[in-house]
Amino acid sequence: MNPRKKVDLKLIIIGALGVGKTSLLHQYVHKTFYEDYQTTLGASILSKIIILDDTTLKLQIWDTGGQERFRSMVSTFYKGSDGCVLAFDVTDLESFEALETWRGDVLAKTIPMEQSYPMVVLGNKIDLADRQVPQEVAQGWCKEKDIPYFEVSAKNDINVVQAFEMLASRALSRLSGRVQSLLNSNVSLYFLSVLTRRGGYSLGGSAGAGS
Amino acid sequence: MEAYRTQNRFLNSEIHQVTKIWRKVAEKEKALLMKCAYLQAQNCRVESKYLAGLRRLQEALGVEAGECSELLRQLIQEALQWEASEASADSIVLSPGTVSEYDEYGFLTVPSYEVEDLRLLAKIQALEVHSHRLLAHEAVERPLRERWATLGELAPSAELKQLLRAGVPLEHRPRVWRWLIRLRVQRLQAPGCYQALLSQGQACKHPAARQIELDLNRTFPNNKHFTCPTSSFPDKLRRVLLAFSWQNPTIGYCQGLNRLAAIALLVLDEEESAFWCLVAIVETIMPADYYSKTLLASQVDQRVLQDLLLEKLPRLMAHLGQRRVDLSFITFNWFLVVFADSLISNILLQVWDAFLYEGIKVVFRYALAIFKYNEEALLRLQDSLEIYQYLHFFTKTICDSRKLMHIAFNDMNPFPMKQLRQLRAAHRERLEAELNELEQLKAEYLETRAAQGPSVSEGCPSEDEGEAEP
Repeated sequence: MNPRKKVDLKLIIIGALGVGKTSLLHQYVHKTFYEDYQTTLGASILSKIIILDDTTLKLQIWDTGGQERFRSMVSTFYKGSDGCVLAFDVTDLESFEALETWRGDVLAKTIPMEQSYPMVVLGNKIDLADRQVPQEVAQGWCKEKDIPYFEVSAKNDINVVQAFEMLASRALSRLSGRVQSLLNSNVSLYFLSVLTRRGGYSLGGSAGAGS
Repeated sequence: MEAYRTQNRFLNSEIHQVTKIWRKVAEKEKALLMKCAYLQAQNCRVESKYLAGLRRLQEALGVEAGECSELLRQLIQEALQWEASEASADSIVLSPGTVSEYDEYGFLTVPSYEVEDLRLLAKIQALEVHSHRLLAHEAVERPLRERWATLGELAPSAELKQLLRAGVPLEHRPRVWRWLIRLRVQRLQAPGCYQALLSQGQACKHPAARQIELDLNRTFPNNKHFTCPTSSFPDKLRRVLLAFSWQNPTIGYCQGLNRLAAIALLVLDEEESAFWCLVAIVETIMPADYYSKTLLASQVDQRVLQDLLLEKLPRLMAHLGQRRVDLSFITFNWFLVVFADSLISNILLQVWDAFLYEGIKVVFRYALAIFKYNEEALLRLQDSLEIYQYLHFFTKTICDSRKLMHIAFNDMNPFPMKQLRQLRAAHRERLEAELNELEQLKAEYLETRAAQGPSVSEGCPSEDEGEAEP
């Protein structure tokens, strides 16, 4: 493959109120942790550049507010995103039960026919004692849905990087897969150009010769 | 007797003389203070220019190693540490002293950015703000302060409107806000109402109580009144929000209300007044549905703002449109909490002074003005990510409140309420149609999924058969 490949990925993090979405994001991007972030209203964006295999990935990660009533507002983000982190708090059963709805929202509002929209589930706050969601239960739910599951702690920086990189690599392979299948099939190059422009996917070198 | 009389006359004239001298000295002192404030402002300007220079150098050099960048790093480190020594050296009892850690309302003056290179920017900002304040203190605020002091009983008038737009001096603000709030909630207010709501909350737990609890520690972590462990503010805030959730059960608790109530508490201090301030905003200024389960009206306002921006700032909107920047994610927050997260406290409260009197139009005016104020800087940014990141903190870089106010209330004219109403009605209709369509799509999607996948359980709408297969 082309060693100079550069890809922009748009990722989102969603989940119930107070599960630690902002903390997870800041731990991943800045390697910092604060006990209390200001509640997120609307959305904010963080970015990080990572190198995965032979590709430079520019991650654009959108942080969103988690209160139930913000869901319709937040859902405008799903369109055009390349992957999603579903977060819950292992000490808060309700936040785990809400995963179903969040996931339903994402799948219904991205591209309905999409079979492999990349997701990861993060059970946060495993550093706390009063756990309410057993690991097996969360694991079971994720297995049933075929979503990778990570037990994480934003506070102690456990598994955070692994979880985000897993999502990034899945999002990348899905994107490459779509570009590849478009190249292979005889779908007009118009779609390819749309896709590359939208996703910021640059094929580099020869592959871009279609235009 | 005569001797006493002479002595008395002598003493009287002495007193007269001393008073004269004292007056002269006082005048001199005042002039010196003004001069001092001016010089300090100049100093802040120079310091901030120097820091800005350092920052630009740092950017220009990039990651290139070498003696230069080493030297630069040292200079930056030094500059960031100035404050500590400076503050102790300058302990004169000037009202406009050096840049102190917190402003009058307890907010951190130097925003705590996490990214290292933004720390320099934050310092520059704090210095700029300070120098603006020093300059405004004598020239603008004194006459205003004098006018407010002579204002007795308040009554709605054109002059009051102008005075409120210019901002109420700190010492008069609580009194003026109480009056503004009473003007709005008079018909809702009943004696003992707040206490009754509180005891209702004690008798039975509101479903929103848990969410309120989760947000208490996450309200203004940059303000000492909310972070100090011995402060009474978090408890007051809890009670105000709980009382409100009983007062208005259709809203209950919506994130953002915590910020509105917190600002009210910071100004009014006393919780019952803060509660009524919250009621005044949510129930008399904002349209219904602003904080409800659908947030319909606040989403509508984002589209209205979009239209107004297209009209008032076409060049900027073309620039942002080409880069597919969606402003609603940023501006949604401005409207929901009336800039509480976005503007530095002295400008924020000036906006609120006018907002409590004139209503929602003030929010639109300032939202437009903020973009206008930073239009050139935004036009220079090319990458959408860069733009989003800039949009996230650019409101805090605004430090010239006079300039912002002037843009909001002059440059943005004409701004008829009728236009606002029409836009709102049109967008509301459209948004409702869209939401219905979306619901329908979702329902259809559910049906097809249900028909296709045998493993699909109820309430698990978007099971993907491709993924569900083991």
